[in-house]
Amino acid sequence: MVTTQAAAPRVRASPRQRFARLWKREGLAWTLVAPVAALVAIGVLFPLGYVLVLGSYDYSPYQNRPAQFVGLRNYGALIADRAFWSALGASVIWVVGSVVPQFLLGLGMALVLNRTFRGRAIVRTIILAPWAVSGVVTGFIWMWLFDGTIGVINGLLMQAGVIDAPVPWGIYEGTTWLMVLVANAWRGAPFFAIVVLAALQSIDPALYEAASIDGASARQKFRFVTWPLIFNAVVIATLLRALWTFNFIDLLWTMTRGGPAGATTTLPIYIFDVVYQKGQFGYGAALAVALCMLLIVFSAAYWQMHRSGPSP
Amino acid sequence: MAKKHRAQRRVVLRGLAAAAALPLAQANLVRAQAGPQKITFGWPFANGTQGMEELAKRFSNERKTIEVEVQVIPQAQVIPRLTTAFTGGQAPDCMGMSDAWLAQFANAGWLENLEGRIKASGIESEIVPASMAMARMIKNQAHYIGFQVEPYALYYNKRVFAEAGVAAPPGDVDELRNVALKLTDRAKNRYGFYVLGGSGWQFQQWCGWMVNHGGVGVDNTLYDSQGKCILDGPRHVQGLEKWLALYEKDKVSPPASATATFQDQTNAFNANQLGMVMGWGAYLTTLAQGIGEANLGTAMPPAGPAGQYFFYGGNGFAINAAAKNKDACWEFIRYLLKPENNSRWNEQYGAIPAVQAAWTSDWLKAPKYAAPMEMLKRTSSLVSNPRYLPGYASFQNQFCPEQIQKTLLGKQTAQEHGKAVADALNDLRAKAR
Repeated sequence: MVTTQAAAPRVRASPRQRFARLWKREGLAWTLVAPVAALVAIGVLFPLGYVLVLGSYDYSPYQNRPAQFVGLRNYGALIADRAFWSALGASVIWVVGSVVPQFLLGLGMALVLNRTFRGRAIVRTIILAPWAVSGVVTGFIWMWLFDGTIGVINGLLMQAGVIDAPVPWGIYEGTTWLMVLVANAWRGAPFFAIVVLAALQSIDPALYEAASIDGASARQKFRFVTWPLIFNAVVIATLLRALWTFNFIDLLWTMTRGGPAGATTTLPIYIFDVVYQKGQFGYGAALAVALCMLLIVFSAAYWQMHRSGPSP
Repeated sequence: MAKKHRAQRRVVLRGLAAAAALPLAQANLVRAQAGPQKITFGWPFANGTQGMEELAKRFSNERKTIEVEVQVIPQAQVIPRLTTAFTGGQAPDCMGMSDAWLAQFANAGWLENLEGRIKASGIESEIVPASMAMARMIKNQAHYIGFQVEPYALYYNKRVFAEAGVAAPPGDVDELRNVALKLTDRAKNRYGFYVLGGSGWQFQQWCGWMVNHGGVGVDNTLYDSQGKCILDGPRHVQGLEKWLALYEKDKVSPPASATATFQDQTNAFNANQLGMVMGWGAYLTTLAQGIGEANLGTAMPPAGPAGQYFFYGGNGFAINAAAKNKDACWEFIRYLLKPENNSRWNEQYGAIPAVQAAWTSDWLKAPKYAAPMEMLKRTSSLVSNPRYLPGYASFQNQFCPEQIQKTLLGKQTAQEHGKAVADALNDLRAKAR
């Protein structure tokens, strides 16, 4: 026999009661999360907000002058600043020229490391070692290798009879870019190798077996099995690497100081100069906000492109 | 269930309260223990750290009432680090300070004005006048007290000179050109002189040629009586053209030197591939280690038709304007500037002591110190470059390398270069007003 009970009329709880109930249910959890949330607010949101506010002030602490509110004037000056656009152009060369070769090299390294061969552990360690070297140290290593007077690369090329006299790599725009991009590729490729290798190792070998049975060539296996399955990892790795490279200052600063004649002065180098050498903290903050906005727009566009890419 | 929940919550909240109260209790405990006054001393130079730490330790042991904690600041990051520390109220109580950074930190009001202490102690008579002039570059008030001075001198490799049959260093710019031509052997990758175009004090080199051809302005500055920069004058430009010719026409400098840094210059000199370079006093140790003490020669920079002018720089000790124990800081600084301490530290570093009584030390009688010390005595030849202007750091570290690289690589003429530099210096001065 089925009995039915009439539902008792619901009494609407007061906000206080609702809060008490919520607190009883989730109070402990929020209490435990609160310190982390506070740290995030202090460590991330406060500096972001501060830079945003500072960007609307004329603030030069080295001149011991009170900060003056100038509204959007710094942003207007930024649009008219030729050095800003030139630095932005250099940043684009730096990011594209770094990430593309790093990805290709990293992919190649990952494909090799994914195979089984004797001494694979040692090869992996050696290949991944540059990632552990700091940007400044990498800069010094490659700066001395490429040194135009006493550099090893010139010495080897002269011994091999490729050149008659040492090449002054650092005085031409093209060779300077080549020099810094090679150095950055050396350092950054292992990062892609790690990420792609992890993705490769998560692919079920049965998929390759099935492809082999279907008569797929090595190229087709890569195109229709490997690539779609590592695509997500590649997107995230390239996005992260592009963002990091955009903000890098250490390697480039060590090797070129923005030269020759300002050709490799990227936005972070320019901001460093404006803030700490010219002492224009307000304008420097506006530049930093612009850089941040550019990176947000870039990330969003890149992510949008990813959504329209292949899916596993 | 609810009771258990409440009990758990009580335990967690009590724990958090206890954790928050812990630092307060600790602070009270520290206050209760009386001990020596502690001061922090920031050391922002790449060299000389060990010597400074030894002196701080010795001072703390001798004076039981003051304890000095040395905080090493990486030189490459000194401006951002100290700026952040000063604005956040966390800067050291006293610190080493370069003349190159005074414009930033003294203009900002972060450094104590030392005039009162200098007068009361009578220390001024002990310090070399060139150092005191640098100390007073901001508003004519001393914001540091010097511990070393460095003239921008000519250094040469005696072995390379001997191999080329050159007996003595050049005295003027024309002689320098001739000597550099003799020393240069491009087939051996050997060059007579390093025309420095990258960052790290190239300004002092090419500007030296300009003022030695066109002369200096009022009070040995780079401005005339109207307050206009003199570096775009025809004779100054002519001096620059002569300097450029060393690189472009005579090719007595390695091609890479147009963008190379001071460090690259040091490396090439130490590899015995250069006959002559120009640099600061601290070079005396580095270069002597590189090519051997017996091979290193020093000389004054070459004279020009308008005379022989030199650039000089130096470092000193400053006190944080917000420091609590300024008297203890000053006592420590006075200790560091005792002639024997100042001499011992500079001997390790390789620069000239700012304390004149230390000039009688035996190590300063070595021939390599003769030219630098003579330069410092010729105060009428010392160029006063406008390091005091806000933004000068950017001018020297960013603007000048970019401009001189353009000029060396043929992207602008010497005249355009002179005008760009003069305009920039006029602009800095106008903004400072």
